[in-house]
Amino acid sequence: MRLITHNMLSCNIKGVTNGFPLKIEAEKVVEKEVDFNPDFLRHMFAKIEWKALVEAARSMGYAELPEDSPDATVIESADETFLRKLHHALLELHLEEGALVCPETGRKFPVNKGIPNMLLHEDEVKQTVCIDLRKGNEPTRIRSPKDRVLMQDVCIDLSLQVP
Amino acid sequence: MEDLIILYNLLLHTLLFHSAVAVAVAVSVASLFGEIYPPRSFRRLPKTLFLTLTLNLQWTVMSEMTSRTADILRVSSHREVYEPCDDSFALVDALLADQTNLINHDPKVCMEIGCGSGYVITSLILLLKEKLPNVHYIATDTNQIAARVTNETLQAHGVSAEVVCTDIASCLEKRLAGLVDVMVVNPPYVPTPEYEVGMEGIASAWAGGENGRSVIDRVLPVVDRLLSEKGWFYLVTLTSNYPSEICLGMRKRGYASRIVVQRSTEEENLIILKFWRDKDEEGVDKETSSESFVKQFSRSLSSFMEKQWR
Repeated sequence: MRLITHNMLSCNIKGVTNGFPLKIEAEKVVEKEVDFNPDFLRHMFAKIEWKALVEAARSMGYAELPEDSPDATVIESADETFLRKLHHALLELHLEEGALVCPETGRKFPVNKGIPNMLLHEDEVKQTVCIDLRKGNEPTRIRSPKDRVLMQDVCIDLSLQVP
Repeated sequence: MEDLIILYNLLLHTLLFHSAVAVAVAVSVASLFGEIYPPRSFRRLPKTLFLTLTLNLQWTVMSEMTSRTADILRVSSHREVYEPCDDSFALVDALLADQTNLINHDPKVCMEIGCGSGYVITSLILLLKEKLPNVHYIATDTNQIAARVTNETLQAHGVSAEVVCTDIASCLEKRLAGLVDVMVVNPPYVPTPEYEVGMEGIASAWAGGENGRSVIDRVLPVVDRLLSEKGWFYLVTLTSNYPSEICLGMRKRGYASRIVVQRSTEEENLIILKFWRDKDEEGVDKETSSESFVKQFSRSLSSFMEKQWR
């Protein structure tokens, strides 16, 4: 799992309001060389949460990134020293074994062979509700796929989710 | 005689470059002729050498052309992971047919939900990587073993993508919202009893509940949130999934749609749908103008033939 992915992952357990960023517990970090592509980095830079990236890189053993997010001039400039550091942190560090920890609940999501397992247990999943027209637009909880089928005709918007 | 053999082989390879079997047959035929008419003197030797070289060249050329999609022999497998089948091939054919459009579309982030063996995401990467080396690819699957197998398939083809084991895209929705430019989904679409949906193991790869729509109906709102303004969405469905209903539902969310590939096998009537946001007028124009005459003709011919069959 590379840090570019970690920067996009958040904890989706029901009730959690601030599940980003996940803390990294690194057990095995591997460095794999990737072709340097400044255009790709410039494009992705706008979407990256900088503080999360710096913190994550540090947990993986790379502390070369500056604390504060550099402004546009540094990115657009021909000087590639910063982009090279960003490239290394974002794309070349792989978390092979370890865990990602939810900052709010402390729940650990294991990372095995470079793949984070973000599957939630049943009690952690958000409840699906539908608006039951018979009961005056009251949200009714859908407990099982069978409920969903039965409610199909009397409910609207079967994809609502509540924490 | 040898000249005729060489010409015949060249012609055969050129006409049937998709068929590895035809090449194997051609090679064996050529070698058979080589045995019946062995070089009796030094004069014949150059011709036989030329014959062998030509065959090698054709073989290399053929493999180069077929490396546009994932090599089925290099796709990793596991008993709990769905192996590439007609639906996977149809989806990849749809992507192949749209290859030029995809390249012109210039996506920055491509995603597959339900990657299984990794055949489709690998094919997508191979399709795009030559002209577009700057794309970020993400693949998700609920099956942990499938995620691992996808990684192995990607490695076997020398490409890489981010693989995450999650339910549809639940952990990525917040941060990736509005960023995905190309979304590819081959969902569990087989109509089954509701209790079979989401069971552990390989059954979750096909069990689709009533009308095969359980998972599709859950995927559509997620895709709507993840797709960017110019996002394109490819979906595999059966006629049993009532694709027209799916298209209507997506229309209400602001998507136009069309059928990219329609394929009838013995067991299934596959329909590969493509969705894009309708507000993008430019996108609509691109869609209609890129249809070549041959494609339109072959599609009308196939629908005509289907009607004749019925």
